[in-house]
Amino acid sequence: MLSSTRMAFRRHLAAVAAPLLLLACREQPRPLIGAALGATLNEAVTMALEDVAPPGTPPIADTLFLAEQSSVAASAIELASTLLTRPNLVAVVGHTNSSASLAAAQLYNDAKVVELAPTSTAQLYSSAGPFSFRMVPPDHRQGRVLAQAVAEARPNGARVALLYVNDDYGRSLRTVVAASLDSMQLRVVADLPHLDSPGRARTVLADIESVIRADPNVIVWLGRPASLHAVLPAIRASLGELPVFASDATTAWSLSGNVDGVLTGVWYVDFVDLNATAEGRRFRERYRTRFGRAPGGGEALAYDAMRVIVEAIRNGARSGDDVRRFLDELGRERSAIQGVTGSISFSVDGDVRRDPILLRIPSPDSIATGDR
Amino acid sequence: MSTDRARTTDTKRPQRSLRERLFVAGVTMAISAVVALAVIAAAGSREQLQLRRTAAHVIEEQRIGDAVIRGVMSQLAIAGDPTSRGSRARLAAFDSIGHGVYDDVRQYLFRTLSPAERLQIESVKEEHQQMEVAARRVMAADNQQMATAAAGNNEMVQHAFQLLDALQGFVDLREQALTTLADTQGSTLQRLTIGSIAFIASMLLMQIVLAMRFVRRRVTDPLEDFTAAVARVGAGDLDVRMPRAADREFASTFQAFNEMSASLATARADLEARNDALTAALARVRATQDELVQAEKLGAIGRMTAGLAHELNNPLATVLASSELLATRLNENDPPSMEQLSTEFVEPMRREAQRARLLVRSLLQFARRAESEVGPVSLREAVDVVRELRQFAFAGAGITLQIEPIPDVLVMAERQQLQGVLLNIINNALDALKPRKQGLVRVVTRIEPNSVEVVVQDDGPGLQDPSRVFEAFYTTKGVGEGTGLGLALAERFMTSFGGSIIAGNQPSGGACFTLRFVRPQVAAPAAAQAEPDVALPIRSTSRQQRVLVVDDEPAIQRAQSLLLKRLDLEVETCDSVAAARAAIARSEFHAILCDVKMPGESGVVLFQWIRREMPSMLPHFLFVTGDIAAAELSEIAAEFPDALISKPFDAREYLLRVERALA
Repeated sequence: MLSSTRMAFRRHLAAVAAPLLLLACREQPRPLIGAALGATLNEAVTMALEDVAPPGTPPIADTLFLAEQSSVAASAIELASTLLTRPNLVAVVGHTNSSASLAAAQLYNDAKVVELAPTSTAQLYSSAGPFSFRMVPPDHRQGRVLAQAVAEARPNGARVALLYVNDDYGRSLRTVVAASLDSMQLRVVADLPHLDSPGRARTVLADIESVIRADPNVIVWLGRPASLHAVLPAIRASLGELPVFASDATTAWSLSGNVDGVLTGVWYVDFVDLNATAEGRRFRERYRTRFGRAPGGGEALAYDAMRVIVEAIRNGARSGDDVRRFLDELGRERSAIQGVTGSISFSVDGDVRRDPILLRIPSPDSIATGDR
Repeated sequence: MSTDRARTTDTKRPQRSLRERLFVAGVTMAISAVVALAVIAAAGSREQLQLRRTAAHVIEEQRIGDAVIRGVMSQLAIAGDPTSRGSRARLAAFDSIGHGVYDDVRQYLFRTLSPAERLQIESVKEEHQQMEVAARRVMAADNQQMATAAAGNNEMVQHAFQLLDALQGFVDLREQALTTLADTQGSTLQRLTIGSIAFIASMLLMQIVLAMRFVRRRVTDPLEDFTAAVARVGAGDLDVRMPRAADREFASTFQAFNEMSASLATARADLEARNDALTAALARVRATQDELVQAEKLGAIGRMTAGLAHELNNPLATVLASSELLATRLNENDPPSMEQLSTEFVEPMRREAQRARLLVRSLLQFARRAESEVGPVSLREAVDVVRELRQFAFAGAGITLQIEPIPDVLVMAERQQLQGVLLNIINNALDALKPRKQGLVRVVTRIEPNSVEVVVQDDGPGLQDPSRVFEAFYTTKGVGEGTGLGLALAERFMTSFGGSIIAGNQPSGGACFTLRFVRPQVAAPAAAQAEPDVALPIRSTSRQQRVLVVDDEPAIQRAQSLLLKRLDLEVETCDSVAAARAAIARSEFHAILCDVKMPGESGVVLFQWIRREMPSMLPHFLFVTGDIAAAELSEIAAEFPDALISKPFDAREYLLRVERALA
């Protein structure tokens, strides 16, 4: 009687276990990595995928590229909504700037999808959520570097014109830079916001008169390089060759955007110096060979961001939570990843452990010869 | 067999009791019901909590929206105030309020919002950024830049309105989401309620089914098996064993049952062994008893021998005297007439010879060793045998044996043992009265519907100790006069007949034995045949039949030949079995009359030869013997009861038997 009861129990167990086993053994869809960046950064991401899985080899993950038409919040939310319709999405490399990354961050966190922003520095991004990571340090590190540079440039009394774009990126930077300048007792004589959204009138030109009236001897530019390119001739025409220190957004134009030499000599914050390492130089040459132009720090960061995500999937990550755990373990339970931008690991806030550096925009001639 | 394995398993795994299982099942059911209710309640409260939380969020968002509006209004007021232009304090206040607004808007950023709601918030933020830029332009304008200030004012106000519109759009979306959520949760709660009822009902049904299955498998089925096993044991199958039960109560009961069955089987085997031993002992006792009976009978015969010789001498003397006188008269000149011959010579000789024949037959019947089988027996025949044996002893001792007429009634007894009982009591009475040389022994029979009572009483000195007369080896007779076993055996025989024997003394002083017999439940036998006619049958047939007489005594041969000629038969005589076989081989016979004890081969040998060689002759084979009680004839007598003629025989009966054999 005990044995028949036992046999009946085993039959029932087998009946339940068989479909569960079949369910468990069914073919799992490959993880999907999204890319929501501008055109050049998407090229770097593409190159990263080609490097980890050359043509003819089985792909490690599926990828979906969505190009940001403009780096504004609305566009980022739209792209994030599109990406999140895919059930096997585990991570997104994007978005291009702080406003876009912040706007989409909560959508990704709600969906437990890792967002790895290559170039977003806004201080607020550190508290966006456990699934929000970035390849650059937050603004307060950059603010201190800029303030230090101002102090070194005008040791006998700085009169700083603080020009910032009035968005998440600029407001965040302006707050930390102003605090750093104040802590070094460097005087701010002009503190002027401007707008830099596509389709909007660039207001900075209209307001530059008030800056010139303040007679600053140092310009600190916390905005996009295109606007700087627009106002810098007017400033120099009135105030002469005064030192200009720009935030990290200028890096996008540091190599390819200074064709007319307007931005030559502008100091800007960057996080990657590809010339500093052999790995960086090899990457620059390969990139130039592949796309016909030299990469900036953003491209290198986007390249490494994709490599990091692919490495997580190669190590068995099959969900956003797996990818998040992998990134958290870098530099702790796992060794940091060595990318073209250097060692990659993240703080508890998801910020990469990396120091900003100050670089100077070279002349177009030196860019053309590749001396930089 | 399976018990050992069950015990081994028992040592491996402790069993639970049914009570414990029922308790665990009840607790499990109760816990599952509580858990189900808790899950349902938790789901309901979670829905309500989510609704409350969302409502709280909306309220908080409205509060944030109010703060944003207040901040924007304040910024507008500062920027629109002409006195604020160029004032660092007013600019700082403007920036501070702007930071507050930005921080308020930023609170929305990390909330769980839909893309549309998030777009609205982004619009609010963007409009605020643009409004601030326009405001700063207004505040930076000097008196020469009134146009710029006016344009900035317009732009500032326009962005402020757009901000308010975006904020209102956001609030509307949130309220709409709240309404949708409330509707969704209402239907969810409704589905949850229905699902809860269905779940509890299905769980109750499942529990009932499981409980019924549990009771059937753990209680009803084992009880049925147990009942069947008990019935099998009751029917005598002691090899039945119950399998190991899953629950402790049944396990202990079944184990006790199995042990009981095993004990019963062992006890039955012991009983069977003892029964076999008792059967063997009983057989030995019976054999011993038969030996004792036979010894007692032989002893009695020994004691009666002198009297019997006397009794035989008397008729023999009469026959001898009559025959000598007849011979004398026949040789004289005055021979007797036929009538005188018949009345004075032949009839007395026949009567006395008949008397001697009856005496010898009774003695033979008494002495015969018979099988002890109780059945219907004629009481009168038994009493007659005893009377024939002892009447002359009584007469010689001057004692009267008075036997009241006995109807032909059957009693349950064994013939020889019954005769032994009666003879023992009669002998004891004779022995008690013999010293006085007078007295009366009276035998009275009383017939009841279901029993027969025989009372033997005498007028002698009576019994010294009636309570001891049935004890073995108790005797008041002298040494060599009795074994002390007679009455003890008599009591045992009466008990085995289903009757009883009581000994006592009459008030007048004589002894009195009362024998009570059981009457058989069968119809009374046919009335006794009338006294046979004295005349001998005579037969004359056209077809001559041949008879072979085998006897070593020439006188017997001659007597039989003379008798058989009365049946007009051709008789051939032989004096041995060998001669008889030769005669049979030589010619055909219609009947064979053969003695048993003869020199050389016995008549039984001839019978067996006939059985083998001429089985059709067996119905025509008759033994004529003086010892019909011979052991070697017992089987033949049982198979062919009419095949035995006792010597000395009655001539008429002899001829009738031969006629039947020839038929």
